[in-house]
Amino acid sequence: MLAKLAFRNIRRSVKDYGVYFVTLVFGVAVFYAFNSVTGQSILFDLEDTASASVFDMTGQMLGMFSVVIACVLGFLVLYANGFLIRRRKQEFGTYLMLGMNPRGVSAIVLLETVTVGLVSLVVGLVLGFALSQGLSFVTAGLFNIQMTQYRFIFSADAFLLTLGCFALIFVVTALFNTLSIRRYKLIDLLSARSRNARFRVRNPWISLVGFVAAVVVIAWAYVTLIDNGLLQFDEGFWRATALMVAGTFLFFWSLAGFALAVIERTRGVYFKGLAMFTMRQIASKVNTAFVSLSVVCVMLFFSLTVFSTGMGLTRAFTGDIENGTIYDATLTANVYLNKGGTHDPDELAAMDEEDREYQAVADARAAAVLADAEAYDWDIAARLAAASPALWEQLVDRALQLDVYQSAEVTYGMFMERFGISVGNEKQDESVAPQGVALMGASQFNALAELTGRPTADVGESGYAVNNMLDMTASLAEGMVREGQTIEIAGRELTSTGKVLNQPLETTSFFSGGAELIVPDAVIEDLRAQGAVPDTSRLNVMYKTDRAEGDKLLEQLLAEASPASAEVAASGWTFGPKPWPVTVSFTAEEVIVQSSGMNMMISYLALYIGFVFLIATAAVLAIQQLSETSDSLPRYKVLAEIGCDRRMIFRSLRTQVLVYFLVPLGLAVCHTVCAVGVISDAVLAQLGVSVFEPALMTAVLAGVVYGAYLLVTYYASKGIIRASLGKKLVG
Amino acid sequence: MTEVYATPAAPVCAPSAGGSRPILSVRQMEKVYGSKDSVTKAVRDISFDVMPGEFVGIMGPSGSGKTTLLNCVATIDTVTSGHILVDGRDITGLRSRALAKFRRDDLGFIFQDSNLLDTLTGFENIALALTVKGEPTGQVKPKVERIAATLGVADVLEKYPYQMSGGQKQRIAAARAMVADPKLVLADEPTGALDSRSAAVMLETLEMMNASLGATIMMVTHDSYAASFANRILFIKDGAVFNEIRKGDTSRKDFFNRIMEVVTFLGGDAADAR
Repeated sequence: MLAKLAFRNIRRSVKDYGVYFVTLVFGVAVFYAFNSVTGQSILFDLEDTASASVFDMTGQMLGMFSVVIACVLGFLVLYANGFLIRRRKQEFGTYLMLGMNPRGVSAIVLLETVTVGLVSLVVGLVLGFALSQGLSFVTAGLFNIQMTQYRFIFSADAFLLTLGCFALIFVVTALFNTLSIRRYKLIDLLSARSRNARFRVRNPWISLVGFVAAVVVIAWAYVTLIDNGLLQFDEGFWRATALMVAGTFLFFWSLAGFALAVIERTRGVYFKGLAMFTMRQIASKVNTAFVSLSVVCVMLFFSLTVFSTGMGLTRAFTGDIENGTIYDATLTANVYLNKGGTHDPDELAAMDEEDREYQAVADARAAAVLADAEAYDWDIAARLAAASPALWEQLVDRALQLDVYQSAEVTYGMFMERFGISVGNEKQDESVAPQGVALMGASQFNALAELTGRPTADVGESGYAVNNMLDMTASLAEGMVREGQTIEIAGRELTSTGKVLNQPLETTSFFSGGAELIVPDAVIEDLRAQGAVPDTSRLNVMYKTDRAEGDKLLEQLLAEASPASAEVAASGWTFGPKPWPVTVSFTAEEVIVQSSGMNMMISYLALYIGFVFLIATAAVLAIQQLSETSDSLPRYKVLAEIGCDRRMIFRSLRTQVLVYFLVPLGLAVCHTVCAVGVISDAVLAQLGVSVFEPALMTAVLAGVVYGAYLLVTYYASKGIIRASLGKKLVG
Repeated sequence: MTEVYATPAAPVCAPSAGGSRPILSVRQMEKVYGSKDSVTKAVRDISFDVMPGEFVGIMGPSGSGKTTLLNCVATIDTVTSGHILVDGRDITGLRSRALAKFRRDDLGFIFQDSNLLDTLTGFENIALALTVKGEPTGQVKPKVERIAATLGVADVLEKYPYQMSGGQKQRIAAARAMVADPKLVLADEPTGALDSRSAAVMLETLEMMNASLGATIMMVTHDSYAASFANRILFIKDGAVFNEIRKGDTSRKDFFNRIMEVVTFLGGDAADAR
């Protein structure tokens, strides 16, 4: 009997439940699909550990954010359910009046919740399986792997996780429902509807003040955020966040009253057709639902920002992969790390014995490294070849060294000051300005250029050119080679050749250096004579073998040249990094795996978070608007009776739905533009990524998903009105 | 003692003063509900006319078909056969867009439960009837204020329906019905939900609308006291016009007594009479 009632209720309220149900199904499907990403690794028989670990890392990140996602979906279920329950107070009142005991009513609701939950879980999981198969094709595409044989993947972990999460959500929901029904009093249940008729109208003057305050607070938040530059999560960041949330809240609190007051005073608009009615409908809805609207707006903002930033970052990872993998491998010696201990006598005297000993060890190590380097005249290739001539012979086709010195005399700040050039915001300028200009010998540079078939630099006896791979320093590089520029380095005056080159100097995912000077070899010789050592040395290697095999040989070679200490070996490394000959090795293969791995991780995270937040918010709005339409049916009936035709009524409905969906989106877009603009300045622009494409992708995602919810809401509302008023009135 | 007699199918188009055209003519109207198996004839065969400036009451016991008749005239419901002419135009054949236009241009409604929009103030409720008609925006405010002053609701214009008494709501509804200057005002049990004092005020309002503002009113009621404010009563029984009485020059009290006699004869809701 109870079951019959429950099932009939669900069938009958499909219009109310529909959007909620579909959203739940999407939620479950996406939840499963993204949590099954780790399981996809079996598809590709990933042998090398680098790729497998990328999958693990992606899986871990997705798992971590799944907690957030589960919370969001949990709140959606709780909210939607509570909302639908509250709307049915009168029905429950009737059951109680007819003598059903409260436990019976709770049982009905429990049955309904369980049924909807079970069905959506099953449908969602089935959809999730399908989605995860599709996702594996996307993954294959990201890794540039041909899927030779297709395998159906089922991830038991993801399945259990999904099952567990949603079971928990539904149990909590069921408890919540039962408790809230128990708390109701019969009189409240029965008079629920008539009391709903009272709605709040705010004083227009208070609304006006509130609205102005909201705009000020939001503007303040934007200014704070721009000041903070999103470079660190300091006090400024949290203040901006708090202000933005408060401003959003205040905005929706005061919006209706303010808009109403303004429009009421523009008689031309207010007294046109159903404008008054439409305005009041929206105002009463916004006034009662301002809390959820604010939350929706903030979540939308989050969704749009995460998605567009994520897509921007993936662009950065894939953007310069061609230039970054031009050599098979790069071995870098970060000689600047070889400073040893402190040499300040006062400081040394103030130290305790243990620290002084430590300083002594550091000094000894530094001296050893220096001696090693001097013994091979800073030639990394010679050092490695000596360590294992057989391996070297087997592996290396060409190996070219590039030594980069840092000028003690000329800083970037000098050029920036001379030409008023900025490399970004103030903080970035401050960090770049004191750095000494990077110097490279022309012959070493030109050898690389010839190897890769790119333009060489002719600096003659006393000229200089600039090499630049960074967008951030592009204008600085241009400035440095302006016509007739001269600089003095190591006592020689050099004249600009006016040339900027774009030669990749290393194997990397991100180019870190920009605006390096190419100077005649004689300058470098002079510097060496004055006792300068390279700041950084890079050995760019071309293999004789293919890249996969070469990477293995390189690992062996490095292990021979610089065996790992016991400490380092314990963490699974075979080679011990030193300031010289090799601090870091990075191969083209690693760059590709890393960037496709990062690409996969970030784009999946962005999609996952962006999509779930988007559907959750759109679903909340849709449910609210649909129930609003049901509640307003008597009003639409009156309108039809006093002679409004179908077109007028549906136009009013359309305006209501549009405003209700687009106002939170509009404010969220404002927030997003500000935040993404700041992120773009702080991060994306540095990585040479334009925000235009990510912004476009975000617009498409939001347009499609949000737009679909908007359309469904409008047509479903229309259907509700048409079914209730009949053909005669709105035919 | 009035003679009570049944009039089969009322004579069509009683000639009346000035020889002007009737504002409303109902011709052999029939309304059947239900499917083939179970047919309910709500209205069997009704014909009558309402002349401009008349205040017609429609009385009859529950289930007599009086509300069906009103709904058909209001174009909220459709007739099964027969015709309804308003100001010479047959409205039974109109499409829904044209019907909506007819309702907003030619009709005014007053319902038992006032049917004001709860989200709108009194002023806005009245104004809505004008704005949906496309009234020039400059005219809206003065027209609303004028009718509100006439009907004595100027002081509740800024209130919301939930802040008003039942009587105030009904008079706002009356103002909404009147403000667009309709050809015909339809009132369905306008005093049904009111206490006796408010009911009297409301009825006087209707009477005044009819007498001073020249409104043509057709009111459905089962309350003889309310009916006594009309100048002609049509009694409906089992879906047909059963009798018709006119107030003429008699006092309202006499008219009331004559109504009571018919009602008693009909065996109807005598208990409701005051």
